[in-house]
Amino acid sequence: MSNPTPFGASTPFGSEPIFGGQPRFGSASDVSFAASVLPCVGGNCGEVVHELYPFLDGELDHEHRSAVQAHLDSCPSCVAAFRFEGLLRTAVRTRLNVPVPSDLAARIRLALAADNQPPPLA
Amino acid sequence: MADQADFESLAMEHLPSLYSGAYRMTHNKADAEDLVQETYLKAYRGFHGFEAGTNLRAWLFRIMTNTYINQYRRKQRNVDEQELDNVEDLFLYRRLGGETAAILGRSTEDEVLDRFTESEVSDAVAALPDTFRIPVLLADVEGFSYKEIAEQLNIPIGTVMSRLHRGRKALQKQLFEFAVDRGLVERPTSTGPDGDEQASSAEHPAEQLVELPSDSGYDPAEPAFEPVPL
Repeated sequence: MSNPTPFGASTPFGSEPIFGGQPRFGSASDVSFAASVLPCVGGNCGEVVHELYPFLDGELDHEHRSAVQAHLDSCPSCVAAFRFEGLLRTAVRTRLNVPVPSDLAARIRLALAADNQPPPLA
Repeated sequence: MADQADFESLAMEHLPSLYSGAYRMTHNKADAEDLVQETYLKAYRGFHGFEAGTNLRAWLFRIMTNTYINQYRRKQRNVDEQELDNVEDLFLYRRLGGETAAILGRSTEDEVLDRFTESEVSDAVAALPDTFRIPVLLADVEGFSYKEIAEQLNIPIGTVMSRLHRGRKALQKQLFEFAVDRGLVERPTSTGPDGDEQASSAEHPAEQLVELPSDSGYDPAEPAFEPVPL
C-alpha cells in the first residue's frame, strides 16, 4: 500500500516522524522554520489543521494519525503551525506551576488521622 | 476495592499536582488549600470505591473538580459563544508569525512565547469562563485524556473536544491582547466584515477558518457541568 492516507500526501522530506511518539503536550523536534513563506505542498492543509488538537492531544486513531503525519512530512507550513501550537502549550503549562505550601502535606496527614469515620458499607 | 490503609502512601505523592490544579481553579491560596484538603478527606472516605490499578491521580482530580464546581465555582459572566466561534484556528500563530517579524527583525514566535510572564499566562487562563477553563487545564496542564476529562466533568467526549477547541482559541486571543499591550506585537489595523480583527495575511490554506464538526456534541443550552456522584 503506497499511500494509505486520505490526504494523499507524498513524503519528499523523508518519513521521520516530526513529533515522535509523544504527541501529548506537543513535543516537537527542531524543525526549520519558514511557515509564513513556504506554500503548502501536501494539499488539504485545512483538513490537517482540523486535526491539530486531537493530534497534539494524542487522541487520533492510528489511521488518522498516520495521515496527519504523512501530510506533515511534506508540508513545512503545517509543521511550523503544529510546532508553534505545541510550544505554546508547553509555555502555558510551565508557567502555571505553583509550589505547594510547606505545611500543607502535614496538615492533610493530620486531618486524615483525625478522620475516624469508617468507610460506609458497600 | 482499594485498602484505605494504603491511601496516604498512594495519594500523597499527587499533592503537588492537586494543589497546583486547585490554585489554578480557585486563584486563591487559602481556597486552594481548603479545596485540596477537602479533596483528600473525601477521597480517603471513599477510597473503598477506587478501583485498584486504575489512574489514582485522575480519580483524585475527579473528586477535586466536582468539589470545586459544587462549592467554589465563581459566578460566571455570560459567555459569548458567537464571539469565541469568530476566533479562527491558529489565531496566535498567524498574528505572531505575520506581524512581529517587522518589529523584532525575524520570525520570532518562539521569542514572543518566551516573553510571556507567569502572571500573564495565569491571568489569561483565569479570564476563561470555567466552562472552557477547566477542560483546558485538565488537558493542557494535567495531561488527562478526553475520556478522563469527560468522566471528570460528566459530559460527552464530543463536548470535551468542543470546549477545548473554544477554550484554547479564547486563551490565544487573551494572550495576544497581552502581547499587544506590552508592545510585543502591533495591533492589527484591518477589520473584517463583522468588525472583528483579522490577521493581515492568510496565504497558507491552514490559516483558513475551520469549523467545528457538526457532530461535536456541543450544545450551548446544556449545563456547563454535571456533578458526578462519587
